Amino acid sequence: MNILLIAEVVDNMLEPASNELIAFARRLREDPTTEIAMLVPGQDVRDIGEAIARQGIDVLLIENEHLRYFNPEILLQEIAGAVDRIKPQFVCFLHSTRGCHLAPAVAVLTGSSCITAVEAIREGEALAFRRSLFSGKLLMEVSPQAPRSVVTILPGAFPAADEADSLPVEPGAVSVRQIDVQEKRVFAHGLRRDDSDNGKLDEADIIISAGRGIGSAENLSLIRDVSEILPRSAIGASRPVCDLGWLPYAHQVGTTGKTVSPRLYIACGISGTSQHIAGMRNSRWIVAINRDPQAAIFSIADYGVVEDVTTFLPLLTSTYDKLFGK
Amino acid sequence: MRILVCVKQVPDTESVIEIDAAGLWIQETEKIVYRMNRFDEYALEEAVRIRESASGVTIDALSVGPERVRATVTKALEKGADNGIHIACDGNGYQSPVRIAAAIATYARPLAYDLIFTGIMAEDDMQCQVGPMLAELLGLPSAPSVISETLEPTRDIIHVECEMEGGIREQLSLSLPCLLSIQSGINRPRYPALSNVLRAKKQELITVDAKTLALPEGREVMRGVFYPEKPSRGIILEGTSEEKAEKLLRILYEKSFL
Repeated sequence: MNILLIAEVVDNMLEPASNELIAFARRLREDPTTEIAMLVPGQDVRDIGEAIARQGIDVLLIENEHLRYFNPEILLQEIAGAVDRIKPQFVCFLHSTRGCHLAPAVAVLTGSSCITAVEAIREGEALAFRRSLFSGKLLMEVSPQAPRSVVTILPGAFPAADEADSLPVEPGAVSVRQIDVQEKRVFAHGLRRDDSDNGKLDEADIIISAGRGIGSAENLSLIRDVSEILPRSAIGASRPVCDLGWLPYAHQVGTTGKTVSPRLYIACGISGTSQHIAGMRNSRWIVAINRDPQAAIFSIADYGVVEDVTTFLPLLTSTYDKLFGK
Repeated sequence: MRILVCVKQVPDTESVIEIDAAGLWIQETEKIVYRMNRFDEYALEEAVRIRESASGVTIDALSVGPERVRATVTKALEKGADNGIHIACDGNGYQSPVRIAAAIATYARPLAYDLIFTGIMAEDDMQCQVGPMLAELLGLPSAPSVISETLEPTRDIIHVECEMEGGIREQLSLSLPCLLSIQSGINRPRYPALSNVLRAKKQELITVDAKTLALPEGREVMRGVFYPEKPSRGIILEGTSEEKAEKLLRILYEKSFL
């Protein structure tokens, strides 16, 4: 058995969560002699490869000018080629937009099982992976059936080992493959970074966030009223609230928005998808208000209130006035 | 020019979700409200916008599932699809993505669609697999998380921006035919026009029995579904609404947040 990890490289920079793939692979292998290798595609990725190899795994670099930016056609061809040569039992991607686009296609190309957004490995007689369903209301366990499996790992689920804590290890081997390939049907032009104003989320001590449960753009005034009684607070939002145009995307908390860690995070009418939770789970204190007692947000909340936010928030404001005066 | 939009029917996320007796999927109850996957609504709307800005565009909306998914195909007609296709398969349980992708691929292959749109993921099983698998089964180039698109007037190239994590947008061009998985927020899906609602009421759906399609077996086996463990650190505040408000404020006060 061996395990092939696919690093995520964006514009010749390693996506740091790629190191979590190594932590996952070390959990997955039953036998410490199982080989773990990481494939690093990019334009100029030698430094990245050497840093990864210092963690004691072999590194296969694939370099081509067309791999500086995301070209799914070339990546697929190269990853499937590497799978054919290395014949790993597991091929592991990050569950990111890039990773979860490539993984199912690699599974089809190589006849593999495909299991995405893995959060945990089930210990037991039959290997099974645990993942969320229905915005985290339920979990499922699923076992691969094919001799080879392609899996994507939910960022944050398998924290990378702290480099300072780990013992020195023999560095892995780094091999470089310069490939000669042209863009045929997909042309990657480059990337654009959205550095628009972030609604002051970075500086805020307290973030009070609105989810779809707020019901309407007009009801955001309820959030603003509570924000008034919380010093140094800012207003955040889940993605659907921004998609609906109720708040600009600058307020969005989650994997495609901002990652925040205020002292207090109040989630109002937010169900708690893994994408949202990944953006706020490191907040010091978490309060969740949601009328749905099954909402996944309660699983990470320090304090939960099962109430409809549209009636509870006004009550909170009026009770504040009563208790603490205007 | 023909566009295929894949739509999935999902239980509304606010429905009360209970596990079935076998512990392998959710219980079908009358408490569950089924509707179109929200991500697919964006995909369908984007196809309708392309048809509005170009001549000779036909939109087919397709869904795979049991009898109840016909309502979602009809909803797609109401929202502007020209034709509705139901690939009928039994059962309400977990469906392996590779089988769903194969069913759609088998139907779509002879029709040689120019564009195929899917939502970026399904709200129920959240696997993000069928779109990329379908592209690969049909041998099409594809792009994920499309947040804007511009079709060349020559209709042989489409320029897209893909929304990645951390505020990054990758800019790609793809030759047609291709598959795009559409990110939420690319547009604002419209409400159905009355004329489309009336048309959808009368329009027959194209029905294909999945049993006739020779689909592959799934390559994974469902072991079971579970409720998440109750939070160990969290406290759920009890009492009347007023008492909960007061308790929460006192907690915030004690932690000097007020």
